[in-house]
Amino acid sequence: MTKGLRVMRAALAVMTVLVCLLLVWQAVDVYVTGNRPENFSAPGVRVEQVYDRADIAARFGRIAPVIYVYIAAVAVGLVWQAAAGEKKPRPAAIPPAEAKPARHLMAARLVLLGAATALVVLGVANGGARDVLVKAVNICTECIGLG
Amino acid sequence: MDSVRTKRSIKDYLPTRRRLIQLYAALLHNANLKGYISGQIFTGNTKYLCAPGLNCYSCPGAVGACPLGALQNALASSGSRTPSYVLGILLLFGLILGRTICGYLCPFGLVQELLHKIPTPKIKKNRVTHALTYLKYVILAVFVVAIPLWYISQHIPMPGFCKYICPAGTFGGAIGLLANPANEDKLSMLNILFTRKFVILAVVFAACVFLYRPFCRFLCPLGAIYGFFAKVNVVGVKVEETRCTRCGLCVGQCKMDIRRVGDHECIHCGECVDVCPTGAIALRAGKRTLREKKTENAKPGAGRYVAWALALAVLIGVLVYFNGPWSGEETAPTDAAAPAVDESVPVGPEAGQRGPDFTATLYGGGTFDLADTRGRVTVINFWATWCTPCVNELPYFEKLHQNYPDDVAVIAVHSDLVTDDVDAYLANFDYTIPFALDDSGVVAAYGGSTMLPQTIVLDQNGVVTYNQVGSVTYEVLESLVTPLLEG
Repeated sequence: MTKGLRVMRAALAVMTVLVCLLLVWQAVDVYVTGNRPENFSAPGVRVEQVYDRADIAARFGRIAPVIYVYIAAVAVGLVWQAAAGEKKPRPAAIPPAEAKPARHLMAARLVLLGAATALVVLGVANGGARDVLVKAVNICTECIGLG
Repeated sequence: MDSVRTKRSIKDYLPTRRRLIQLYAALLHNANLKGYISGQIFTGNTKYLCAPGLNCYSCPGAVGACPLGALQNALASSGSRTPSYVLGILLLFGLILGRTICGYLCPFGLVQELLHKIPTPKIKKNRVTHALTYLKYVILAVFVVAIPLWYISQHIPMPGFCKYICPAGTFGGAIGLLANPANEDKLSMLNILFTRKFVILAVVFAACVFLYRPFCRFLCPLGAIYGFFAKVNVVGVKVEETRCTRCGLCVGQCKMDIRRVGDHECIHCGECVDVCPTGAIALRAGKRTLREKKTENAKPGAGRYVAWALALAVLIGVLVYFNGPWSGEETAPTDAAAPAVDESVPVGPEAGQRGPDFTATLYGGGTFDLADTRGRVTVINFWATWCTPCVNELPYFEKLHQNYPDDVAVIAVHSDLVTDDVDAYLANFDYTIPFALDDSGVVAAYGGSTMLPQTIVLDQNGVVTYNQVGSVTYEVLESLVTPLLEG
């Protein structure tokens, strides 16, 4: 690897960490700003809506140039790296193989296949399949990280 | 051994066959492209089926159910029925494909691999990363199994992994929905839960740049489950022991923490196939070889092109099916709207509009007629037994009902999608508020869709003053009704 490539990779590593920290900082700051005591008249009761799209867009608009520069740097880095060669892997020690009796393997597969089929049929019969549908077509707001 | 630099051809810069399959699978998992435009999730019948990879079913594009989310919810419902369907599906996926799913089909695996392409110094596998691979089994045991089972005893459905960790849910579900202008009102729900999960997502994504697939290696419980089938899965990388010389090149080049090819950490990506000097490694489906070491004069057969053409046709068919005008999976329109007190105020679910009248059947017998509550403030709560925040906030509605028995009417309307015996569920509590089933389209009439919980407040004239999706506290409820009572 050339020295230039090494420097570029190190610079991109630092930029990656900084961009992630910037995003995390913004997310935490959105939360902290929205939860200032003056925004509440009682526990959990906001005086007015503090999060709206315009505020959040403006906040992330301010850091957008940093993101664009980062994306451009990544693109340059990818092209640079692609132009460079690649290394062949080094060998590693591997433990001895375990004997696999083919007949036993096939029997195990058949047993598992039978069990899986039986479970699916039982699940369809007892309403388990409908449960899956119900949960999948509705959004539990807490489950995806909203409130 | 010294490393050797090799010369690369144009072909080396093109996506590999595995990358194309990954992109193809990601598109199939998220074929509901119009969901990204509308900001609504897909609610069609294909969600009866679990998709093989980790792909949040609350992602606007998802057309199947996430097996991990379904497993947690099934365990949370195991008090009423055995979770045999999801276990059967997982057994089937594990038996046929195992962790080949991780290597070829998982959309979140693809995202991690693309992030790893960013040119930075990489952290190679070592003893620490190897030790960390056992963390995913701890997460499986604690967050996927123990937490849902523990909360059953308190009658609270709790998908622990989804709620506290899953970065795929934050990325596809939360951010996927919030990024759409149609869901602007959902921004009011942002709280510490989102901040915490966003931080987890950012850390995972940052780690992906330096480490190869860190989420798969250290955290993914779905990969842990599929790993249990490493010795029996039909499709995967297999080693022909008679030809293996134990040179170790395969394990040495592998970026996963494998001890040998095909073990529980192996994602069967097949990158070791071309490395093996004796050609002992091949990607197989049973006895059929899918990929083996290339020989100099080897030419792809016509079958390969036929397979790609067929796959392309299937993809186009799927995309047309899910995004065509006939794929309407909208909730049936309601017939609940009816004229009320002030005819000049338009009927509708928005604040300032007159709430649509409705009559709903109560659990335990009788009916609830909204028109009968005129003159009192009315609080309507949409909930379901399978919704964690919904059942957690029911006590607040009960307290409101107890504290304002004459001035405030409270009604809790269960989603028309019922998975448990609601009567049996309610028998565990001493709630006095009326509980009804949404058998007349109430949720749709009040602008409800697929997000729960939802709270609506109507003033004494039946005009909507508040209509929001998201959890509420008792203080919030009181702050909503007291101005109306005082005014």
